[in-house]
Amino acid sequence: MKKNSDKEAFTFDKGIERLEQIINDLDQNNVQLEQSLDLFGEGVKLIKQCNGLLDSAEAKVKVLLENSKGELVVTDQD
Amino acid sequence: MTERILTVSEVNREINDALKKHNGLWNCWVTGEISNFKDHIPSGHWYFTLKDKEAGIKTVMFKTRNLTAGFQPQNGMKVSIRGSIRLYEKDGSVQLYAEEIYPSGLGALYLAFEQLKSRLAAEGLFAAEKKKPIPRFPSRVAIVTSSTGAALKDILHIARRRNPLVSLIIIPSAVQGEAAPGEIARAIQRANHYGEIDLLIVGRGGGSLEELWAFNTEEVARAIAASSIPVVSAVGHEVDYTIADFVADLRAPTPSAAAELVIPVLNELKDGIRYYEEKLTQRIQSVLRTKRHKVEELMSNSALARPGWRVEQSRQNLDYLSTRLVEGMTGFLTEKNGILRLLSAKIDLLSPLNILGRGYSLAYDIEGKLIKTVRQAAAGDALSVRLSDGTLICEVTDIEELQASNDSNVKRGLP
Repeated sequence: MKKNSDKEAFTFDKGIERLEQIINDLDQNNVQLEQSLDLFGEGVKLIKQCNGLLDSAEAKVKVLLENSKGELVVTDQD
Repeated sequence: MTERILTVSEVNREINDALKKHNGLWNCWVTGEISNFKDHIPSGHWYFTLKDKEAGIKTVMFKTRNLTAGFQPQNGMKVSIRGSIRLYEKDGSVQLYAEEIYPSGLGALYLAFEQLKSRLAAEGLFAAEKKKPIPRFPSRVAIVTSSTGAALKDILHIARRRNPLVSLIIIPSAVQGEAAPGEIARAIQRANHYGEIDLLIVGRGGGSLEELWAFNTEEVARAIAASSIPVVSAVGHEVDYTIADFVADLRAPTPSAAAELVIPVLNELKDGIRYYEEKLTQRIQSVLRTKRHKVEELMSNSALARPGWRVEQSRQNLDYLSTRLVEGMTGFLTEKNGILRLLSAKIDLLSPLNILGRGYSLAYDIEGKLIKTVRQAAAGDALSVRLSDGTLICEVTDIEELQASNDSNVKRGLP
């Protein structure tokens, strides 16, 4: 639910995909100078974001269970 | 007690009547193993002996019945048959006349597998276009499997080793036994309900066909098909194919392989970003280099490099044009000149001056009036006589008039 309302949540997948597109666009010889600088700026930002995701805190292993009321409960695995 | 001698026919009729009276034999289920199987050609009837450890019974299944069997019986196959026990009077043998036949045990599982597989395939559940793409860099991976199984241990171990940053969410479920299909299906639904999961691994470690059976059920197949999260199936060993494998978006040969397939190695990701960083720098440098080249090229080849060039060019053009103009005009004039000369020559022929040139002259009186007859002049008059090259001022000394006969000659000679 949260994910859908948060339209363009940044993910590693999307970041890499956009990076590939930017590099492709820069490969086209007909790119305008201003546009190429914008693309470069965006690419640098994406690299920072992707690195940031990888450097973020270590993820944990969790267990998803359903309690007696039918609610979903997430607990850390021992 | 009367001793009566029975005919063979009578005996057989008695046996047949006895069989008919025995309801349990007239329409019954019999289970056993097939032996001595014969697919009779050309009739297409099946003949075999159904037996267990201690006994056997001749069995026949007519073509009209066996067409719908859906499998080919083989010797050694355990089957369950519905039919009736009757006597074949020709040789007095008691036979099972089979109406329906089903494989039992493993055979039954195999048959159910094939039937479900073809039904779901016909429904389009395995279609390639239904397969969801597997995210290349999932950050949250859920695992539907037994919380105590070896499969979970393998997946966790490999996932941690490859990438400790990927969140793993275990959704415990029985993976064998009667409750397993329902629990697996609910776990898949729970994962979808929870959301925020990029990928789902559904599976278990190796086992017998019966132990893997939950993954061959329609319930699990439909839960996988309905999942909006991409599903990777990871059931048993490499050789085990389950219905779940056909429905899943990706089949991993084993649970360990699933972890290897979907969890990207952290260091490789870091290398990947470095690679993109280098590429990005290279590309922008290349773009800037190209632009600079273009500018330099323009500078060296164009008017920017030689400001006078355009003027020179224009001047040359102008020279060319003026030459053309002069030539054109001269030609025009020359042509006109020729015409003029021609015309003036024509005019000359008609000019009185031209006539004078041929020796004729014109005489005028002092008033400038042209003298056309001797009667216009008298002796002593002053006349001016126009010749081709000048005028003589003369005085009339005498007048001689010509005779009339000559007059007419003169008149005739006039135009």
